[in-house]
Amino acid sequence: MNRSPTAERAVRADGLVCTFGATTVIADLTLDVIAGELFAILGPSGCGKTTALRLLAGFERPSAGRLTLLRDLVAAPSVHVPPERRGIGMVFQDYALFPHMSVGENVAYGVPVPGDRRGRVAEVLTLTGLSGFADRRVHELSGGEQQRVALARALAPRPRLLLLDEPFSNLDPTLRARVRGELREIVKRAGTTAILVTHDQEEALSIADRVAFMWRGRIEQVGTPDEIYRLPATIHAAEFIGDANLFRARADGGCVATPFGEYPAPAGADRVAIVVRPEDVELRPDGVPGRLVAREYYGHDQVLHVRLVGGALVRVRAGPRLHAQGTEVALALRAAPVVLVDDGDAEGAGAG
Amino acid sequence: MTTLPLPLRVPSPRRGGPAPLVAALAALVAVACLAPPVYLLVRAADDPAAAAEVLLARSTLELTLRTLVFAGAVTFAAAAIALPLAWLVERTDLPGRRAIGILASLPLAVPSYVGALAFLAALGPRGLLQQALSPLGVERLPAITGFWGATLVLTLFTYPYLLMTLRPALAAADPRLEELSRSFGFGRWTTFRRLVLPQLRPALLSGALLIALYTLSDFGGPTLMRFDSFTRVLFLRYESTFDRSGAAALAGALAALALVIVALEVWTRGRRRYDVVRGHARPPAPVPLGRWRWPALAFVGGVLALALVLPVGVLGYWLARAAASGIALPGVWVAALDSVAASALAALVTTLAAVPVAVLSVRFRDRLFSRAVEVLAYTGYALPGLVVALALVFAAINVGWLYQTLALLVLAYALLFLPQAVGTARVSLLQVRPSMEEAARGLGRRPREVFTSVTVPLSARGLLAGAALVFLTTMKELPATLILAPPGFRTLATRVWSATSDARFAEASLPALTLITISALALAVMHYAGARR
Repeated sequence: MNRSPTAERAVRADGLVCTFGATTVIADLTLDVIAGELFAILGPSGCGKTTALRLLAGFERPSAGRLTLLRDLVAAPSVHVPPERRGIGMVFQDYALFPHMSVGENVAYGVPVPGDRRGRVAEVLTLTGLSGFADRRVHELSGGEQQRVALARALAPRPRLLLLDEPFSNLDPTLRARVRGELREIVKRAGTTAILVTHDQEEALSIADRVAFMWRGRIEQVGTPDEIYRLPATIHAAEFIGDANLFRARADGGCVATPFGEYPAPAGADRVAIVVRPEDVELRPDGVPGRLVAREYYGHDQVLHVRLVGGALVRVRAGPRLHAQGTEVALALRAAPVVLVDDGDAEGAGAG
Repeated sequence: MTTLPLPLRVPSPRRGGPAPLVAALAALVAVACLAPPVYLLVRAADDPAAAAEVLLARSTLELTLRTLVFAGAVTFAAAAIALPLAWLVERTDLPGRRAIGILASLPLAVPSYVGALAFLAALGPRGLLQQALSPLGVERLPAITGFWGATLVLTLFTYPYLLMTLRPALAAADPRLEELSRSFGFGRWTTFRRLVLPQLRPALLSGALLIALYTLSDFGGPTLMRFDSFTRVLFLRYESTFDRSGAAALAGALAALALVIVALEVWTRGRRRYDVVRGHARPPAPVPLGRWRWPALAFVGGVLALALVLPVGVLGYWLARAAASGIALPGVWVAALDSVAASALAALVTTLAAVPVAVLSVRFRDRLFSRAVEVLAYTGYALPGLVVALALVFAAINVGWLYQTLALLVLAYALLFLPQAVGTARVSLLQVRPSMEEAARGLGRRPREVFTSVTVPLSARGLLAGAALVFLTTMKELPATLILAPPGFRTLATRVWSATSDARFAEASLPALTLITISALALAVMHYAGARR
């Protein structure tokens, strides 16, 4: 997107379509992933993101579109390079470690040249912090260790592309944050291009260089975590990623009325949706008056539910200071809201 | 905040077809399975008038009813033994229940005709009891042959099939449900009847189906006990007349009867779900039997005495007597070798044939082709050994090089026992997650290498257990062996049979005991390989 045009493309997916019988799971997968980046595909369950990953790996065949890995065309209507010849490394959600092999045997499984094997296995085990684990049995390991074995096994053959399917979902929530950081570090040190699929926005935003938001078989937006969060391109992206107040309204002469005043609407738009993050609203004496109706207390902060005089309900992220229910408050925006075209359920055209 | 869309239904784990080799092998197996029933139809249609006359005869109707009542009685009696036995072993503090669980499954190693032989040798006309009583002037004992004798023998040597399906089901039933029921104030018995028994229904039905089909198709047991079941009448007709169309029609009728029983089981099982929600934390607390442990032990002891001690004891007695009086016991080792060779060959061929069928059914279950192949592979389940053997004999008479060869015999075994091998191969393949195979492919291995380096090692134990089961069943098999064995090929089973049919008990004892011993070893291999790691 906003990278230099000279950067090498590791993956180029162009209009991939995947159908199972009468069901279209991937309607249009179009993606560019730059060599060396950690890229996340984020979306709700059932949006087709795992299928997207399986298309890249070669476990599924697209019914239309073209897929290029580095400079090699690997999938097109008349081309299908099988997974074993794509040079990919895959980390499965359930890790799929071979239970009849030791850790070392698992990692060595994909390393082709027998002469290089021993050294390469040791190298990857060190990289993943598993040196000394080579002779351990797979089922003796903890969940986090198993995940690192899966990662080491995938990295050992020096893949051109690493694919990770929900790699953290089988881990304890308390372990996840730490393992996420470790994973990013390992992948970066290995220098591999990596694509991660997840339904957890925190995961995608916190470790990826860029994020693609997927909805019902289509990529709706690609951008840095910051862009995705601050400037959602579609209503689905705004609603799925982070917390959002969404006001629907009609534009009138290039402008739209919001509870906080008039803002410019996208050109030619009729129905629009105004996206306001709760943290972009503040309590300010000179703001729009309202009444506090409920609150969710989180300790480090809280979300206040405020009914404005006009009737709109607004959620506001505020500091932990206590406000009694029924308190009269006044709200104002810190920044101009994102205004999106609201065309029913189809993808919204970007603005903002 | 977030409105989730309805998740798109993502079907079957893998798209893309099966490898052509796998599909071709599976298709070959399916065609082979279809051959016997089709051949019988063709043969019966040779002379439709004769076939119709046989089928519509009043005696055929009576025979059918008699056989159905027989199968029903055996199934019911076996359930009456297996259900309490399974519960005692799995759920109570019965002393020695682990050992009892193993001993109670051992009668599976005793073929029904060996069991019948032991009963006749002990309680029959010239049996041990009569000999012991003859000084007292007892010349005749009440006959143990006929319907009740046949029912007793078949029950005692088939109930372990039900025990095998019931025990895991009882062990898997969630004890929390029972605790819940008791907390509502229902007693143990009400809880068992209303909650545990319904959960056991699928296991009960599938075990009962096995026993009903076994009884229907068993030839040796009923024949020795002089009960005119379908198989005995069919065999006599085959042996004594040249009316091959009539025999084919009768064989077809027997196959149809078996299919009716299978259909009945499918229909009663219905569409209800019995999935056990797995992962309950702790096994149920054993029910304390208290003073009831004595009647319980007496029941277990009675069953084991009749099903295990009596046959082995009687055979041992006759063997000792034969050794003492110097009766020649020729060539049991040759027969044992023939038996083991044929059974091992059958186990190998059947397991190899089962693998492509199981791969299709586990990995490509959405395909019509897979389902068709699986259904066809299960036809052997419903076809009595006698029927398959007759079909193969009728067919092979026209193919000189195949007639009376070991290959034909092994083919019959494979057709008959393929369902057992497919069943175990399916279970073991299900344990190999598709993601493991995909991980291996992602790591640069071609499908064939993935199969040999991941799929086979991970399912090897299950396949071995299946092979041991086929081996065991082949060791015991009688009618197909009698009809199809090549000249000079005499297995333990045929040797026992020929000695028994004219009451030469001493001569039968050594091969019978050898047969039981080898079968018990196969049973041990099966349990060891089938055990969880």
